[in-house]
Amino acid sequence: MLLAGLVLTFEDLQTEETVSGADEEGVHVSFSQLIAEQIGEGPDGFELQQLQRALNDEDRGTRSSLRDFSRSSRPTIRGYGMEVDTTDGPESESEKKERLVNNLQNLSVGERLKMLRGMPVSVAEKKELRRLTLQKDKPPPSSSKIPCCSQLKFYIIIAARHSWYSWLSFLHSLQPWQFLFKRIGGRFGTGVLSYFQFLKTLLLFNVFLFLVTFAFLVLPQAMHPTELPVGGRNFSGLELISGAGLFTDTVMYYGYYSNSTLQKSCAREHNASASTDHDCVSERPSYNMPLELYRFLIMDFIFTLLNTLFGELLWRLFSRNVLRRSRNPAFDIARNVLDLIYAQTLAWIGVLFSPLLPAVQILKLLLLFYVKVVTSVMMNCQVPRRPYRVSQMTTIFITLLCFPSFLGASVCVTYTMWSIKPSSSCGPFRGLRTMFQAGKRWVQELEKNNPDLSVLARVHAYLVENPFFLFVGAGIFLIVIYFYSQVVDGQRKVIELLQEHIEEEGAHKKYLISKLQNMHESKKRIPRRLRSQVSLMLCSCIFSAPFRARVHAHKNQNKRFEL
Amino acid sequence: MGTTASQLDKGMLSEYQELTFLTKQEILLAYKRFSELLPKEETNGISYRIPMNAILELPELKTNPFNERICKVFSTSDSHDGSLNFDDFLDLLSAFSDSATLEIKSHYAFRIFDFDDDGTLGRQDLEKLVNCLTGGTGDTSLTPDEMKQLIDNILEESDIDKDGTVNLSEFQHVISRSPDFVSSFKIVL
Repeated sequence: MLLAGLVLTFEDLQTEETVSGADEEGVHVSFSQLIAEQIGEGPDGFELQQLQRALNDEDRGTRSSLRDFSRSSRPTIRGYGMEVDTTDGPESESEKKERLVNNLQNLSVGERLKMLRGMPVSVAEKKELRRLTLQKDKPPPSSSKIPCCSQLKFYIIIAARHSWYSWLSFLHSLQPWQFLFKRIGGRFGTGVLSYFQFLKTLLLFNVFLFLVTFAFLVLPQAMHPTELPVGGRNFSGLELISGAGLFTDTVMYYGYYSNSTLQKSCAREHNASASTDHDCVSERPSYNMPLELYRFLIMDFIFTLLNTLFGELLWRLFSRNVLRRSRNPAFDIARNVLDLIYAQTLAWIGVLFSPLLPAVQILKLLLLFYVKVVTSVMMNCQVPRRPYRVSQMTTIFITLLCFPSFLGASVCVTYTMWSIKPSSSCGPFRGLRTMFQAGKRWVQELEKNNPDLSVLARVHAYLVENPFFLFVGAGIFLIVIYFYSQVVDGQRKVIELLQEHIEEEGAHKKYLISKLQNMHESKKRIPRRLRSQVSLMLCSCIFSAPFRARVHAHKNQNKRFEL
Repeated sequence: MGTTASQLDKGMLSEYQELTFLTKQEILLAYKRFSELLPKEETNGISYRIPMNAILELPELKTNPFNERICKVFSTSDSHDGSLNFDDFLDLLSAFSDSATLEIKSHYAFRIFDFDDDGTLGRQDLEKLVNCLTGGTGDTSLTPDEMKQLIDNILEESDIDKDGTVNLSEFQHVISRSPDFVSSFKIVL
């Protein structure tokens, strides 16, 4: 769905010259056409024209500075007699069609398609119009006149465009749970949908993290397993919860990783000490840290499941029978999102010590997704009553994920790498003063082994270790941030201007409508009734109610949930 | 299911993509659902007209109070019996899709609410509209006095030229002030 939105905006950008937020002239044009339709009806035509002139004169003095933006008024179908209620003008049907086809031809291909799509006529008629338009197009010059390379270029461009669109629709179809999201969004609203989209985003983050750690950490280590004393451990289900037992000697934990680097001969170096789990147990941080984090994660998952399956069920029964409320409790989006963020923070802190933690997190998120979909949403399927501003909430979710969660986790990890002395007998950093030194040591060894690469070592010494470079880097980073903040400021100002503009246009409309009404009323001498806000809302509700009512009726009728 | 998506050839698919607001997946899904409604012996799916009562069996339309009007508005058959061929079906889905513009949606909403097809929403049209929403018969329907009061209020608010009916421009003007019209005027397969 995200990609579909991106494709649409991509196409929009291609076809529109500029984005015009407040199309002043467009509004005035459509309003003057509204007046023009009324004009045909009678003797007040003259007064109405005067009114329109008066409006234009008055308006010129008060136009805001947005006029300076270049504007392209969108091609509209007004004036082509597409509306149901226009009186038959002097033009006949075929003449109108001619005019329409001619105007379509003058537009570029993108705008023509956009206009065709926006026409409220049947698909059969649109096909006919399109055929007529293409027929009347100037025939392409014969191929002998085009030099061969630009014909080739033409074909290449067409092929590239075609393959780009196929690639985009392929990507679009790869989106997991696409139809499921549409169903959830259609039945329960976009608020609940935003929770599931957030879950999907977290899943993608974890997949990426997992791929990176797997490729560079786990795989090399797994291919060259360190020798360990045979412990005769058997797999029992308890491992999944406690994390101890069979998992202690695997790639799951930091302690398993050797501190040797892979040589070409794939022989282990002499100084790689085979660590046993006994030593590791006595070294508290390198073994117990990842173990504890793993346990945190699993416990959080178990308790979430218990809460979802039993807690909410019990609460629903309680509220139904004891409190006698007629509706199920609503899906608490905020609490669930915070749970997700908490679990993700744990995973991020733990990835330093336990490289397979993203994999655990991925499995956990997948299970959680299906459990939540089936139970929380189906059983407590209450459509939320307050309108939910989804885009703002999604921004808040991502901000919460970034600032306390990711920043905190990265600060913890950085501090650990920089200051804490790693265990002396366990893990890939044993024997060093800080974990950071591993990088330095690697470069030194590289220089020692391959003297040709001493340039690289000197570059490393001057760039990475020199604080000057860090200052320059930080400076560039700050400049980029400042630039973006100025852009955001500018956009905020534009939004304010546009809002003022909309208010002005509203005031104009009100003025014109009241004048029109006065004119008609004085003509027919009907006493004016008091206007009320309630009747406006009534109108809007009446006209938009039927399709919202469908959602409730559909839900009640069809209890079966198709995944 | 006898028919498969491969029967919809690429040229027609891209033409439909250009002329409607639907994506390729939505068009293919629409074709699949349309073919399910075809009788077994029918091989050429595109031009066959499915009668209205079969279309109304679709779960998306079954519970809609305006389902018959929708079929009649989108039908291009000469007998105006509400039967839809595949083009009409796509037209329907396109007007009700996520990406359709406000202009299209309000245009078709107007035509759907115009029960007597005279181009304006008169008192009878508005009465029928309210009855469809409230149930028409039984204890949920409005009394004649309430109905008169309601329709007077509606006309007071939307009828600018005071001719006793709501025409398309007035309708579009009222709808433009309703923030959730676009999001609720949706049918997704």
